[in-house]
Amino acid sequence: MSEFVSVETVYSDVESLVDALVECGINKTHIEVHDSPKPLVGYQSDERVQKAEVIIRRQHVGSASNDIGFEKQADGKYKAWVSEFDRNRGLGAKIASGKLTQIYAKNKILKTVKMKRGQKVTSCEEKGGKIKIKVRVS
Amino acid sequence: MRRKRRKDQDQGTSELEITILPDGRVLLPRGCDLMIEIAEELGDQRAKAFAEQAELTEVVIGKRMCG
Repeated sequence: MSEFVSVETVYSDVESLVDALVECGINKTHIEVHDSPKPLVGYQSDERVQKAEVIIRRQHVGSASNDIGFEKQADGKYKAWVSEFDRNRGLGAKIASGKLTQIYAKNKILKTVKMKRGQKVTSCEEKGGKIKIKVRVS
Repeated sequence: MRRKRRKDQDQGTSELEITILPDGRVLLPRGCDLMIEIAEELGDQRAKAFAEQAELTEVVIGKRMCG
């Protein structure tokens, strides 16, 4: 049985999190968003003790994978649950390496700038693994 | 470029660059309320103090635990 390990993040905006998951290759229709936490399921269809509000079911994660979930904490931030098996492949690897966080940050920054009058994103490009965003500020 | 910069100065605008590293850390330039707001949106509690003091602010929005 794969052990779940905790990947601490400060995802706090579900909309930006879902957008980041989609950019990581997950079909939006395969992302469950619940008002209350639901149990995660392991690769043998066994229900785990870990629960989450945002869930990608194992069949959409990969072969022999477990569910991946994001559990809302008391402070409103989300904690990722990724099994040890999945941490080295696919979406799990993108969460463990920080790639999901990078995309989440990009979406969050673009969203924040868009909401401000007089500020404009003039470019957003990825080079050498880094994302560079240029903002015109008045 | 010179013309563009002058035009920017005339209009009271400036262009700032934000860098997001592959591991999710974010580098923000200082001296701008918008950058402080972005840092706070990203969830770093130390953001405001850093943004006021440093040339570039490193905002850690992903703290990972392995094992």
